[in-house]
Amino acid sequence: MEYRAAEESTREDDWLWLARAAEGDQIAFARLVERHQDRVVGLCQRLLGNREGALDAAQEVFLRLYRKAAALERRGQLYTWLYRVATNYCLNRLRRRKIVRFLPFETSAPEGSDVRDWQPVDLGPGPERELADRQRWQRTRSAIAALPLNQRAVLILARFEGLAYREIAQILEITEGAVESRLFRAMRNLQKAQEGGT
Amino acid sequence: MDRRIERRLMRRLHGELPTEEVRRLDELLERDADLRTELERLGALWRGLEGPSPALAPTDFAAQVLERLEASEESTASWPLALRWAASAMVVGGIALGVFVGRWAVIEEAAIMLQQPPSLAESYFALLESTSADQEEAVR
Repeated sequence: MEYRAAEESTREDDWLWLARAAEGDQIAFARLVERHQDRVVGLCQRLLGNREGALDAAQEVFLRLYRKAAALERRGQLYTWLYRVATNYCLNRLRRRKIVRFLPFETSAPEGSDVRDWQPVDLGPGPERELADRQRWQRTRSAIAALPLNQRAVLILARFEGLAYREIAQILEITEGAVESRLFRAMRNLQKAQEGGT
Repeated sequence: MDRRIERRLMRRLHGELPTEEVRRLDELLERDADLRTELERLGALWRGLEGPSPALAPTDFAAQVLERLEASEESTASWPLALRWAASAMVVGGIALGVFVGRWAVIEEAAIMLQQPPSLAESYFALLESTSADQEEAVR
């Protein structure tokens, strides 16, 4: 109940700050950015696979928010809009990169990736465990990077961002059935990749 | 295995299945060993996707966004009004020219087709007809 009330007040605050931003109040806009920056940067980093590109993409998403502030329909959660713009922006960037390179998207370490940004959390004693965790995570990342873009987006939103099917459907502007199907196919492809790699 | 049941398993892992459906699926799982294996396999894969969280945004991220915003506004504002009008006129003019040239090319092509000499096949058949007529006359 408390959670719902907090969520509701966050939603109200977001739209309130956005209305102020639309009138040119940059402090209100900065507060909005601060509230959502970690989620947006995190999502962009997971989709693009590199830190520099993610920061640039996230900045672009917030610039678009500022420019659209006056015209945006004040309905639902603001983060849904931010996620939608961030996802579309990153996927378009990946598509363009694919066309330019004429090669599949990073199947090993992504370009410009900074290993320090992806250090696994300390799960136990010893550097061996840490090394094993890092190798396992590297393999997982490669398998995720090899997924078709639409499956990758659904998987990241579901597994890493913890969003419900309904929210993912809203963000990607597809049906819940399509979310279910893409997620299932992504899991199947990961399973195949894992079996092929072992 | 039925695709619908496999997808139900995914929904269950993701916590998307209503309580009543979870109960029904559990009953099914009790009876079906293959289904249990599949759920375990999917579950292991789902849990294996757990990775470290990406680093947080830098503390001055909002300030960077504001800087970029100001820079973009300045660059747009620094264009004098006349220059912006001229740029717009050039774009419109370019499009009009493109349409005109495109249409002219089609007309020109049609004119060339009308003026074209007979094709090689037509010449060949004409030659064949005249040769056979000559031969017939010679026989006569």
